[in-house]
Amino acid sequence: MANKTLIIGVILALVIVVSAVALMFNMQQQQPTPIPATTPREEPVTKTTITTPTPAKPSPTTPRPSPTPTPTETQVAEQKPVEVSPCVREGGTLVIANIADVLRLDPALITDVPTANVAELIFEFLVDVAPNGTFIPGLAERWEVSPDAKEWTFYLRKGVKFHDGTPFNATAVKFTAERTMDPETQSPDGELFRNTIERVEVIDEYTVKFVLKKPSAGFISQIVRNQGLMIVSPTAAMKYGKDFSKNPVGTGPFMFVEWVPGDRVVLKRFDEYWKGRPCLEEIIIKPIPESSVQVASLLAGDVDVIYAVSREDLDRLERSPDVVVYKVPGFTVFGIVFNVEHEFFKDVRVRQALNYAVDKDAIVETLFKGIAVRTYGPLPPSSPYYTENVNKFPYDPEKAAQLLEEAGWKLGDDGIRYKDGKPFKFSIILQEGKEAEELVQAVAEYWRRIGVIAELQILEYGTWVDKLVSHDFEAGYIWWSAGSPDPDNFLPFLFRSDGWANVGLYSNPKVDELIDKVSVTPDFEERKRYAEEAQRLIVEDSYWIFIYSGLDIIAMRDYVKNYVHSPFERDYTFVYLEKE
Amino acid sequence: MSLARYILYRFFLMIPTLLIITFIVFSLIHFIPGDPIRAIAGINASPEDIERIKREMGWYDPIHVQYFRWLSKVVTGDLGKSIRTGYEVSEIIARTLPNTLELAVLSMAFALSMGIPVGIYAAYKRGSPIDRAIILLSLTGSSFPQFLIGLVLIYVVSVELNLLPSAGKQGPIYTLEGFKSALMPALTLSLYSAGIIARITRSSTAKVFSELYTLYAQAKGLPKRTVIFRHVLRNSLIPVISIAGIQFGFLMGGAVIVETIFAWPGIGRQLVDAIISRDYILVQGIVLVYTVLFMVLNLIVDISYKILDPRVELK
Repeated sequence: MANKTLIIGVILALVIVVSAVALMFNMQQQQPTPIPATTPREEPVTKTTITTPTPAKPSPTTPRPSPTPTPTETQVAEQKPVEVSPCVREGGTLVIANIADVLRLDPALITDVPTANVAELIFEFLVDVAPNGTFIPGLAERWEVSPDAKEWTFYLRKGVKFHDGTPFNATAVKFTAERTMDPETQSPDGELFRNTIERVEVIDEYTVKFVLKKPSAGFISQIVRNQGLMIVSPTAAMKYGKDFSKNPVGTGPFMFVEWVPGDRVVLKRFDEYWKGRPCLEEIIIKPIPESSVQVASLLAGDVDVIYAVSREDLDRLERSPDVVVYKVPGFTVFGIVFNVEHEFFKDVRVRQALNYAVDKDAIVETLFKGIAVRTYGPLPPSSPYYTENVNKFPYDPEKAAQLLEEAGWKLGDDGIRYKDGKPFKFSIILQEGKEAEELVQAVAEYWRRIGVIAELQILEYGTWVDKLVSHDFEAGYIWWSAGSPDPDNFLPFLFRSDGWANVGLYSNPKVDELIDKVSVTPDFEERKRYAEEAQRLIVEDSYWIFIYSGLDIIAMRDYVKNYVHSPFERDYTFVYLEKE
Repeated sequence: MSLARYILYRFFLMIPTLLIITFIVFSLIHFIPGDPIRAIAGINASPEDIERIKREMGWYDPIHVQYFRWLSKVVTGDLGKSIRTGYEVSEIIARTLPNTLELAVLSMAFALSMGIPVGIYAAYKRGSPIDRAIILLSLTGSSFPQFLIGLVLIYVVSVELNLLPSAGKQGPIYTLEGFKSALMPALTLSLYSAGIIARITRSSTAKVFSELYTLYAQAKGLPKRTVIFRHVLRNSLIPVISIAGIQFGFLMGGAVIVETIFAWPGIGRQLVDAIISRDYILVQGIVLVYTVLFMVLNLIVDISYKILDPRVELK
């Protein structure tokens, strides 16, 4: 008895000692590094792969794809199916860690990234995107657009089957589109689809035509590549109705087996997949909400792929010999937005001054090193329409001060600027979370140096969005994300006078006109010119301070072979595991 | 009052308590800032869509109307559907509650098997350096944040030593794989309770050690073993049982953090997710289950008191 308790006591003591040691270890790990190190550190041997779509020399600072030829007339493309199986090894289970559990595995209802991560294995689009950003055939072999960009015809691949055996054809495409458009479905994309699509016509079994309400040159990226047009099996969707999300059926390389809430989603390979039989027998997607635990699980070999890599863990993963880190540019832009109706921010000189006052390069370099790239305009650098030929608002506190003086904001004795007796003090709203808070703190500190005081108002996500869209704010942290980097997914919503996400009520008739031209011009070069001009004007007006665009980072064990990573899709079709 | 009548009486008392608690939670989640529809529909959803969905859900009805709508379904056994996932709340609970119970039971077993022997030994050696060391240890054990213990365990046991799986549940707890995956979360969860139980056991045992009947038993020349097990333990463990009952409830609550760290598919994590996304239907359902569990636990503790100590009167 005495011995037994002693042993237990010793174990308890051991646990605590180990904890203490590891506490110190952990604190070392978590030391923030906001200041760039002056002592040059030995560059670690990394195995990081930056999949840059640029065909020339990859530059990690500005990764961007080569221009996308928007399909104008007809695009005939190579067949994708593979005759010789690329599987060096067959079978096995790949375990992927997702940051959260899936919500609704119904393409028409997806709004969150974790669910989209799973859906892209089960469902497919009519059109695929090559790593360089060009559209290539997916479920459609080729497509045509009328000269006025109002009619889009897709010629579908023959012999494709859904997981439940239903043949894939024009009726399935029409069904999918109309299902998303149906207000009953309550799809978050419903409104967009209804506003864009007039009707969908079945021309013959393998030809389908979308007739649009208004010309849309960005139709493929805005609608065809929208989750709302991931093609679903009509048989299954009708059979299960609202329960389709529990029984998702698509044409993708893997089919749904089961979802155990909070625990796992199990997918099995689809033997009759049109590109060829996938190599892996099974994929298990597990929700692991703590990113540090994801990293631990990857290092311990309990999972093979992780989708959440924080800045703190990136270095350790890149140093690990067993891990490969993939980085690609994402489609999200982050910045600060002003409410231009607010008396302080009506004057463009004030907005520009606040832009010059912030050292955006230093912020990105210190706070987001390795996880984001600096961006100078409203489009993510991964967009073929992105331009850096804009006013970059380089860090210039003197110019900022001068502009503020011109606008009537004089420096008071207390270091704060005043105009007509009013101090330059306002609140800036942001969502809770480390990245947002650090960014806005840094920005506010730069403003303080020129005598402008911004008080941080940290809000819960839903409240923050509500305040933004109801224009109930003075300045705010903002980001915008889209499924593809087409300008139509960014400019009309954010910067057109009537855009519903034009939260700060910005209005520039010239910009409106250019945005409309971008929407209706099918020719790539011409469209790019309009888009670039629009970006230049938007940036010059300094309605947003554009700061960075996030990188999409995933890490996997080195025995996961044949994985294709692009900014557009994660392809596990012919992934195999080189381990026993 | 007879035992059967007492139990019936207590069950009857549960009803108003349940009504009050669920109404408070229902109101709270409506009053705190945040918007479930926005959280679900995402940043890109247009205000029109959000409005439409809210109207269809009856979001703008007064809170008491919404509450009674919910309640009238609950009494028929329908807990509603989760706003985020569309799954039946009862189905989510049925799938995740057993996992949390497994974890809580294993943790309780850990806590008791660590806490009681250590406590008795300390009481036996009371005043000695060993006693003080044990008190210090148990204090430390119950003051360490679970979050830290969990992460440390993962890094040491899984990543460095590669002994146990780092996260997730690998199967039912009675299988070897399942048991292995439950070890670290259960241990993390149990340390706090183990510390408390050790201290309570120590103080109540120390008290019994100085009772006259213990001295008498010792004076009779009974072997140490007999004295401790026959005379001391039976009396000193009564307060421990009540603490253990309360601690079991605490373990269910503590599971919220531990489940998040170890990606354990339990009901605690569902609750966290539901609160974050303001999925109030799911929050309601889970809170209901938690409340019932707590009340039943309390009842069991009270009844076990009566059984163990006939001097206790049921009122």
